[in-house]
Amino acid sequence: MTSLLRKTVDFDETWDSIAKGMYSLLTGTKSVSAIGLVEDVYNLCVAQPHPHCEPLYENIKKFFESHVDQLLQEILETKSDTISEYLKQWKKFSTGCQYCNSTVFRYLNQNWIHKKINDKKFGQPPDIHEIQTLGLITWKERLYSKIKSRVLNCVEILIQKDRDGELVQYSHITQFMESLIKLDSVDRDKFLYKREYETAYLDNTAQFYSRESTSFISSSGISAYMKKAETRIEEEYHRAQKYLNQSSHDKLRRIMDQVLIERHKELLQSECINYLKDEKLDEIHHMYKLLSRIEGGLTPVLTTVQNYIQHVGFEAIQSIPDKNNPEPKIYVETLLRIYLQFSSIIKRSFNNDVSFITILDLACHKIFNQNHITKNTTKSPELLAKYCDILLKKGNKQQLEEAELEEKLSQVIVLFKYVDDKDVFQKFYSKMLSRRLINATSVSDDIEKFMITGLKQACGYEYTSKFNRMFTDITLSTETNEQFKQFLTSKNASIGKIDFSILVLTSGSWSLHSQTSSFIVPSELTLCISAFQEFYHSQHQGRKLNWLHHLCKADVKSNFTKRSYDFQVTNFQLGILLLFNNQDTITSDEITKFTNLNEHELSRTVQSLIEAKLILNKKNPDSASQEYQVNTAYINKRLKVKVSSSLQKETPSQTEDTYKGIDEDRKLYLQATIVRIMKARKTMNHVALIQEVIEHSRLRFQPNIPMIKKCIEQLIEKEYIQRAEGESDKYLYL
Amino acid sequence: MSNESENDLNSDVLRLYSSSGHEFVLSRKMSYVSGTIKSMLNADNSNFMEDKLSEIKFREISTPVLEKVIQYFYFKNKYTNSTSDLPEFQINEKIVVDLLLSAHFLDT
Repeated sequence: MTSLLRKTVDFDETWDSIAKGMYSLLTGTKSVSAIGLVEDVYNLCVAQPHPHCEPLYENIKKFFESHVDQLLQEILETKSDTISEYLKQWKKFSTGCQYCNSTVFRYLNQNWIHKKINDKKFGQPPDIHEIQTLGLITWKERLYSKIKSRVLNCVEILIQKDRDGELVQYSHITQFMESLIKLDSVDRDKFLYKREYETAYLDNTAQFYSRESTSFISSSGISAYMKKAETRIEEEYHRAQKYLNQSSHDKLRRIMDQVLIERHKELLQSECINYLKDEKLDEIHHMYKLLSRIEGGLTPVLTTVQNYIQHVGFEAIQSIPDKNNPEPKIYVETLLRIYLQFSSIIKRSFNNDVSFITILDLACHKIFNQNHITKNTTKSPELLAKYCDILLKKGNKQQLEEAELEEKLSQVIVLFKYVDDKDVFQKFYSKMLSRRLINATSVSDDIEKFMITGLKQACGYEYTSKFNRMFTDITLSTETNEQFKQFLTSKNASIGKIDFSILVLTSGSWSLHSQTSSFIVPSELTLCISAFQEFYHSQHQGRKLNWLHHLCKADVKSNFTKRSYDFQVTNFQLGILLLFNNQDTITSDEITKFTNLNEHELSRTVQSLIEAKLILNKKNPDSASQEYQVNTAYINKRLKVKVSSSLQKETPSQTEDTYKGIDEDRKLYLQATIVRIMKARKTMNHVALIQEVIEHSRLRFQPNIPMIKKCIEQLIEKEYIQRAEGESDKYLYL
Repeated sequence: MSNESENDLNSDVLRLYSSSGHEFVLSRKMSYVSGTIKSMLNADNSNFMEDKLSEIKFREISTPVLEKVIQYFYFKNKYTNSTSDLPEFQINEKIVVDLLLSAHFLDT
């Protein structure tokens, strides 16, 4: 039969055995039989005639109190140091409490205490606690409060020793910190830990490090200080893991940052410029790491770096020789050098930080577009285009490998992004591209396409569509040539003993000037031209062919000297030379009559032939016009001679023309933009309109306001828009 | 050394003694269904003899009741978290009241 029924119990007797058991548990002396205690507690609680729960609780409480007092005595009288004794006693006590709570008094906890706690009105602090909580509270009130200053002091000293680098028993500190947290768990606010321990810790930290940092800076200088600061921050972080609760880590970090970095940030920032000049990249890296921990630490650094980059950039450009007509190669390579130099610095020392990359972009932008050489003109994109031309043309003195070439071109594209007036670049590039394609002087088609892809990525499809069409034209032309040959054989026609090939180009895509004068084609060629015209018109009705003789070339064989030479000449030169087939001496009047070249072209062509020593200028004092004679004594080392090259160089006047063309294009573009905007908005006022226009055209070029105004005027004249009546600055779309 | 090996062997074995001295051998893990028993055995570093010797003597629980309780341990362990229907847990009428008190005592 079970005797778990309620029965009468002798309170004191049972309590005695319970007390003995508790004492053993709390002091951890010997093993205890749990079941006996559990049963005793149970019996007391279910006793007849009424349960002894309350007196049991009171007794437990008193027991705790006396026990704790005794422990306090032991701690105070101990010979070993206070902190270790404290921790020893604490450990025994806290574990014992836990056992009491979970096992022995489990029944009491669950049935009576919880009821009492729940019965209490909500909001009032309980005065009946679980046994473990009761134990902790007793400890806190009776022991800790009396001894705390001594114990805290001990801990402080230990921490200080640790900072100074001595070996410390840091398990003590960790255990102590944990004990505080546990004691705090009985309260609602983390009183002990926060107020007393944490504050003292943080204060000490702040004081210690501010002293140390100032003295260190004055003794060892900034660069050593930076390294030391980093080490200290690491150290304290590890220390915090051991000595502080998770909740305090953030506060500690902020204090460390403030004391070590914020207070000295001006010093650090001012050193930056010196480091840049001396290229002390490691120091810069340290400084960057430290300053990035505090807010706003890097802002002055950003400005310094940007100014420095600009300064270096402008200086480098200053040092380029021949300011009015600089060599494209030197110019571009200087800019590239600067860009690469600083971009590697940013990667190494600034961790490729985005804000630094931004200021590099800004600085390069300024350097590129506002430097000594460009000033009022837009020389930068022109020079860049010329540089591309040099890279892409065949016959370079230094033949680069394809990979190298691709790399150089990619770098050019990087610089291209910084150009403000991209349409200038486009114009020049297309001109040079057309020349390269016509004369077949580009290094390789792949490289050209590579460059165009790069430009497309940087600037959009529209920009490079013309270039692509140029390529298509060339491909188509080879096909057309084939077809023409077949046409000839099928018709059984012949064009004489002339090897004839043409390039058919769509006039919209190619930026070639149409010829300024009409040229009478030499008779030898007329057959070919008419045959081809017939062929082409049979193929494509409705298309008009415009012959650009000033760009055509011919290979001609000479027989007027002992050796026969092969000359490559332009069509104009050809025209003149063929005249000598019939006569030995020709006057310039006759040349004009036969070829119908204008004055300017004529003199140029003749000059080039004279320079090539093909014809001689015979002085005839009688007639007013010049006389020319074939040079029968012509000798050249090579059998194949290129006479056409001298005519192909670009003259400054041509550059002028290009710029004029660009201006015209810009005006048209602006007008188109204005019309587009007005169409969408219907009405708009002057200032807003200008802003919109600038916004839209920013990708291509920077328009200036007078130009925009002029375009608006022109549109008003053309009656696309009109001024609103009465209001002077509003426009209406018609 | 020998002590440890004994402990290892005994680590899962628990002996429960009823008030009349009957010995019941069962698995420790099974007995954790009872909160009271669990608190005695499960503490690490515990100072309780019960844990060290792996035996508990119940002065107040009779043999048939203890037997039923142990059966319940196994029953609960087997069918907790199961998706099948639970079979009926047979309880002899005579021991119902005592079983109730014991269950309350053992926090089962």
